[in-house]
Amino acid sequence: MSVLDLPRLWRPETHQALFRRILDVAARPGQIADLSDLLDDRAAALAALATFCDNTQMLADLTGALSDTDLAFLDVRTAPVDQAGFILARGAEAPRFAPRLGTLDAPEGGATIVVMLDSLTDGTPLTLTGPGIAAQAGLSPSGLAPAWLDARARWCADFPMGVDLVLADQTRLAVLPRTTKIKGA
Amino acid sequence: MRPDRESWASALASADAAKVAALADRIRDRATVTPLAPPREGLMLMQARDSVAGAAFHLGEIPMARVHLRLTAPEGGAEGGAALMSDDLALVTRLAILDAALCADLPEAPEIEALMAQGMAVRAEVHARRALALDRTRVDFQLLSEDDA
Amino acid sequence: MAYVAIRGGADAIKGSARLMDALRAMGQSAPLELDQIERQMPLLHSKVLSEGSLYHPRLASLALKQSLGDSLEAAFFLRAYRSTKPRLGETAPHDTRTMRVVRRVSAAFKDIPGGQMLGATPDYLHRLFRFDLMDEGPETFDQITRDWFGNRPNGETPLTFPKVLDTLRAEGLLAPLADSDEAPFDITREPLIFPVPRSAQLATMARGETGGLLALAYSNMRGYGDVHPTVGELRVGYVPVMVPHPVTGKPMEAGEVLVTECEIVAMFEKTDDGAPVFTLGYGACFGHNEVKAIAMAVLDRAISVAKDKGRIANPSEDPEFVLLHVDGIESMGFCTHYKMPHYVTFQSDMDRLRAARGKAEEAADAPR
Repeated sequence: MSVLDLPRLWRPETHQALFRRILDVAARPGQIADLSDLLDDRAAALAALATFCDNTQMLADLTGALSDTDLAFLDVRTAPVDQAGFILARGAEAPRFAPRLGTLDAPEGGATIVVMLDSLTDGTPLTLTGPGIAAQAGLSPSGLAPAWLDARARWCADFPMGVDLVLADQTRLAVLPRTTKIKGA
Repeated sequence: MRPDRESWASALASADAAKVAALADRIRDRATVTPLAPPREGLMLMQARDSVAGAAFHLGEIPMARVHLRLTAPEGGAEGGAALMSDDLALVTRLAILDAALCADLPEAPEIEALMAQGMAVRAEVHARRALALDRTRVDFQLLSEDDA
Repeated sequence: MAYVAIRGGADAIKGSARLMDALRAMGQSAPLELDQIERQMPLLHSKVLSEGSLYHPRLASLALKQSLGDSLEAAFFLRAYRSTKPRLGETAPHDTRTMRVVRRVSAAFKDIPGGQMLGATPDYLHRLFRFDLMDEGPETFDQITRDWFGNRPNGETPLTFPKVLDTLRAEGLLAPLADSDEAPFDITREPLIFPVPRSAQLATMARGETGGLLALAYSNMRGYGDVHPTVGELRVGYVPVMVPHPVTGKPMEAGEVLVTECEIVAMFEKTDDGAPVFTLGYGACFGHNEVKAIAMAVLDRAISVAKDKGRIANPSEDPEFVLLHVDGIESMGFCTHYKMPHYVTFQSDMDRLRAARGKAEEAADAPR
């Protein structure tokens, strides 16, 4: 055992498990991934970034929540919010930025925004329809300022360009791809 | 006089590998070691600069292992780090531990310095052999026409 | 035209793998040690390091051993191995003036600052067999090393030297050199879509196959081109690899890489102020491979000449022709795929041939 033990969150096998769970809930919007068995008390939002980020990506941390060690482990370059492929933000604060939306021939350039919330289930119910949803699905995020849904509607108005949201409470994730239509709130 | 910190790893990498490992493991056994960045071994693109037009380009890929950690022993602690063109992560972890231990002036410091001196002597011998080869193959061509003059 | 998916043959394939091992192991010779390959066949070993584009001496030896000495296959092993490793990033650009030289010669100048040192080269030896090499034993090696290391003088010979061409620059005979800010093109991640920047050209040739580069450069030298080069400097040596220390951030030596570098000087060309200058070509690669570095420099010059004139007159001047045909893995791979089953394609060729012959016979038999 002469190499160092990595904290569970930073182990490759954890990232593989996280990737599978995030992919599953991204394919079925409205479903919630419970990550508590993988986190060892770290935040689900950080686990999402750990899965997505590597030294080819750029991140904008709007929360200031990431420590220097977290950033070193993410091994990601920091960038201004309008250039970053990944953004970390707080749901309680209305978004006042213009994220990357991609282009018509490269819509995948649109940013993925990880939004930190109080809870995915204790708040205002939203009704979701669209690809990956049989008839309709629901999510009840609490701690998501209403301005977020207005901003998302603007950013995703020119499909296929747009952004994808990863909603995170302390231990769980849900994904709102740009293809999902939202009613409510 | 202790050499610059940036030359510690290359000196230790040239010293007796078994002794380096034993010393690092002994320090580790009585200390806490935590990673400050993911310890990884992989490949880096090696950039060179073309000396004719000044363009930076990739010569190819090189193996690289990099470790950045914190060492905390009863007597004190420090951050330690090492990077080496190697895929042996265990070796580079040990070099990072010795880097931290020497920086923190732990009681093992004299042993670490002794191994470093051994490594530097090995490197000096490599240098000397290269110098010998250059000396023995130095040319001083004469043009034939100069002889006839 | 395509090779087709087949079933069956598993036993034959396994048998073939076993046969390769058996042929190696039969007879009286001891298994090759990796050190033997690296130390006693260093130039073949160097070829594989640069064509595989991975500076891992131990694995390059293993590749040669496993491929039964096929340098194209060996380079392929290294290229494939790269894909199993994470990419940690890029180093900062290395200046080859830091090279710990083992060989340094100039054809342009007799006297250069620091002097010329042949290093280990067969350049001035006759190509006559030394039959005594057939009977070497360990005692022979002991004697050779004892003789070499006996009577060592104490000296302070430096291992690093300035560039010969810097002297020409100081005299104004060469345009001054400015470092470009442009980030290098990553040929391992982006395809070559022409026109490509110079960094893409240098990187592609640096891992190019020696024979391919040589043939194209030779075509230019023989007259399908205009480059009349003189070697300004050819240097071989170990470039220290510097990366930031994880704690202090200052450069630390992580290892060293054997590099061959060639700068050629060719013809005149008027600069804007009318004074004539020499023009230059550059080649550099991993390992000790002089033919490759010189060929690269000649091709560099050939491509630059055509670019300056706005006219490609020969294949060696066409960057697309050169860069798309010098990669050993691509060329060997395509060539070798012709051995894979193409039964369906060929069956359809035979059908077409028979039908065409049938029609020709009918036409010949038809009543007049």
